[in-house]
Amino acid sequence: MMQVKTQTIKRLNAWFRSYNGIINRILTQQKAVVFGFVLVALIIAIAIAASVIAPNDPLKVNMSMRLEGPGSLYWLGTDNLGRCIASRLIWGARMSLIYSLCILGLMMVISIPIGLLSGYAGGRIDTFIMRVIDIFLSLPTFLMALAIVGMLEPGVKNMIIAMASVWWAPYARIIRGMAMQTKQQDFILAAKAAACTHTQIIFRHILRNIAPPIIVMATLEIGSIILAIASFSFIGLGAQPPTPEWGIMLSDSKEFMQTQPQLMIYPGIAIIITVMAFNLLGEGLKNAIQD
Amino acid sequence: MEILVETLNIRKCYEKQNLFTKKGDQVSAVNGVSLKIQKGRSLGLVGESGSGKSTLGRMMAGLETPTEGQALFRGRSISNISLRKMRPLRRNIQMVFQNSSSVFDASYTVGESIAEVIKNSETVSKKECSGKIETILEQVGLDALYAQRNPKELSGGQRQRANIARALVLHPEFVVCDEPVSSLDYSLRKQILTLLNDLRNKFGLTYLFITHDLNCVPYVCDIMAIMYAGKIMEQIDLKDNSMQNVLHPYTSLLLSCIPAKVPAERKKRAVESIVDTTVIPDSKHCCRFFPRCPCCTERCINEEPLLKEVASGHFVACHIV
Amino acid sequence: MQYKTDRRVQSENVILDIRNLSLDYIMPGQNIHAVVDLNLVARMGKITALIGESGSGKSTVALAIMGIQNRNAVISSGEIYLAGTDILSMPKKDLRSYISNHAGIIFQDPVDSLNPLLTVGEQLMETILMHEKITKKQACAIAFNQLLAVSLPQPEELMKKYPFMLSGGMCQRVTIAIASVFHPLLLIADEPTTALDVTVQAQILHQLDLMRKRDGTAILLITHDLGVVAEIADYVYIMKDGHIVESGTVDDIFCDPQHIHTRQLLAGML
Repeated sequence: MMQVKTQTIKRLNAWFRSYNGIINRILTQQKAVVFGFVLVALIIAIAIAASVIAPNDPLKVNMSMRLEGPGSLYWLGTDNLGRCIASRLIWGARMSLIYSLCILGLMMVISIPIGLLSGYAGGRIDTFIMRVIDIFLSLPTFLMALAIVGMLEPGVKNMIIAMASVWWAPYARIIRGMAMQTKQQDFILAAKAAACTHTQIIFRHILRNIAPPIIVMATLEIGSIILAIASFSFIGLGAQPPTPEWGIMLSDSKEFMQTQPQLMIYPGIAIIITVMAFNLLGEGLKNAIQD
Repeated sequence: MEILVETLNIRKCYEKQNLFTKKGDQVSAVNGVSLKIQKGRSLGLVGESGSGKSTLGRMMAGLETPTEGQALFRGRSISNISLRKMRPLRRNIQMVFQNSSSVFDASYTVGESIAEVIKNSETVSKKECSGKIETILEQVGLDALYAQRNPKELSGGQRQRANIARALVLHPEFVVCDEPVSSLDYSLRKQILTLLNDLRNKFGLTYLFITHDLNCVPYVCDIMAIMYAGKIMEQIDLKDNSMQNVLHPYTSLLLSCIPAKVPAERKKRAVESIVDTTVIPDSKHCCRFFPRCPCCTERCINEEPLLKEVASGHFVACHIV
Repeated sequence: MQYKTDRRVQSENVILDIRNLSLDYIMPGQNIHAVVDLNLVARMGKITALIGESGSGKSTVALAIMGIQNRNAVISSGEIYLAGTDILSMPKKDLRSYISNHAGIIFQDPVDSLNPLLTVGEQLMETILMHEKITKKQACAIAFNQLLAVSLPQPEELMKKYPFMLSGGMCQRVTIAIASVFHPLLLIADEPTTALDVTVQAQILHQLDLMRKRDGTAILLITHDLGVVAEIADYVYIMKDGHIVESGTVDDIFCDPQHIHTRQLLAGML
């Protein structure tokens, strides 16, 4: 038992050390990229510790304290229903991250196997899958997602399903291209000579080699997904009130744009900073894996 | 002597036929080669780029499917079988690749790549596996510590040794070496060739040694076969015949083009003014070398010469000899 | 404007005289001495071979002579006299035209050396028109003759072909044609036959030999193949880790090698 424990610890150490190299390479890059890395780490930390750092309950309505300015109790003031803006922003970070990771996860679960199968198998399977992808690519993605959510009831779960079911196609195509390129490399032939089965080749060699670019693509995509989630929530088809979500906060503050612009500015800035942070991190990762 | 590997009129054509290509226009990379390799007698396959030697090598290693014909290992076909059925044969048929830098998956260390070969064919404990890896690395002249290194950190010569280690770790009977020294510095070539020869004697291996450099052949091979435009032009057993006894005009041309070893041996040779690179389609029955042959006759243009034995262990496909 | 010249250099039939050349690669955190105190002479009508293993710095020397070395490469000392004038002391604006009038270079991979989007004729004419102010028709005629001079058959058809349609040997002849169109005094051949088959190698070496006999071109042949050196070289320089370890006539080097590295190289010949 002790042996298994030390084994696991050794493995974890080795795994961490192997990624340490990447972290080193990120940190030695341009300041902007480092800034993005730090910011993303900060946002994730905020999201995880939301229940601890938020000063107040984000859902608690307090009509007597509505539209207050910043103070010691409400750090950024309150919104039109007396809820603490700062707490809603902090919890909004958690919501945005969770929703976007769900969508991303679902997209990858669909596109990776399809792309790999298409790229590796070639022939008729590839042709068939490419035609299916072509159909999906010719649809206007945003409108399709809207239509799907419109057909089902508005809500977070349906938004996630709608977005993932339309946005997977471009990624499947890119992954197919990468799989095809990797398949041509000599080490795949060497793997066949080493008596690997097709499954082994796909998972041990092809997937492992295309994983870094996929991670980069995913990181760069998170920004767009967060924006899309906010857009859906803004028009009422995504997260529903009273969920503390940045898109909803933007939507609620529409009427107060002239008189209380800060209600719109705070969530807007939060979205901008988050999207920018993920984009910078994605760029940094892209440069790091190219070396 | 037992025949280990043979090909039966094997052919490989890469062009896909579509509406626009006439059947007569096909050009095969390997065009009807029947080669026999006996156990313990390594064969050197010499040819220039475009001769089809690498394709033939891959088909004989069971890594590529021929368009027609088949390759046999100990009488069993290895040409059109699935990867799964090929698995048990893999421990006996291996390949040393040319481009050592792309032959290792850079996401694994050298040791892990070699372990993959072992684990796919045998069930061994972790300790036995590391033991085998250490042994083979030492036998190819690399320190056992190299097992922990990433292939990108190794020099060209070291990587090629690791490549050889990976191919030979299970002591296969038949090894196809596809231009193993072509991408190495000149000073390393002799070392690697000597290593290959030593390992051949030690493990009782049989090589199919593919190269474009005739100088390499005497180091590791017992028989030499010359390939041109997808066909075998000459096959000569080096035990009974010297390399100077070659008869085919193409082989003579190759030998005469080898640079001198010392300045005093500089040859005043008649160099071909320009190489005629027109490809002759499969449908035309002629000697493939006729556009470049100095002694070409009418018969050469209209009739394809077959390999015939002119002396013990010496086969030539030429109408003139 | 008077550039640094050396009359002695010009009179001895010496077209290239490298004196005490040192070149470093400056990279963040490290300073690699690629070439250290190199002395080399190439004479008209003679083939000078520069032999070394990969990483010895021989290609760096070739690029430095042509002025096309890496941006990180800094020449820390030394002089390169090309046709009597030190090109390292020339201002940049005159350097390009001086070098291209006196020297040409061909590289290892002939297909990569040519622009895949231009035909052979277009590339040749581009070089011609950059040097001389002549009409397109005249340039075409010069290109035609140049292709004949490098023994390429049917130049009219060849001029319309793209590099990927030609074999390696033919592409290498085209690069030789482009490099030698204005009869440079020095032709640098950086491993010209390494990527070619042995029969094609024999032809290209024959072509280089022809150029030096017919036009008196000095050829600096950079290679790691001692066979090629034994076949056509007149003078040999052996390079290791940026230093010249031995030099002499080709007979001296092969029959009586002095340095241990030379002996190792000779022992490694197949």
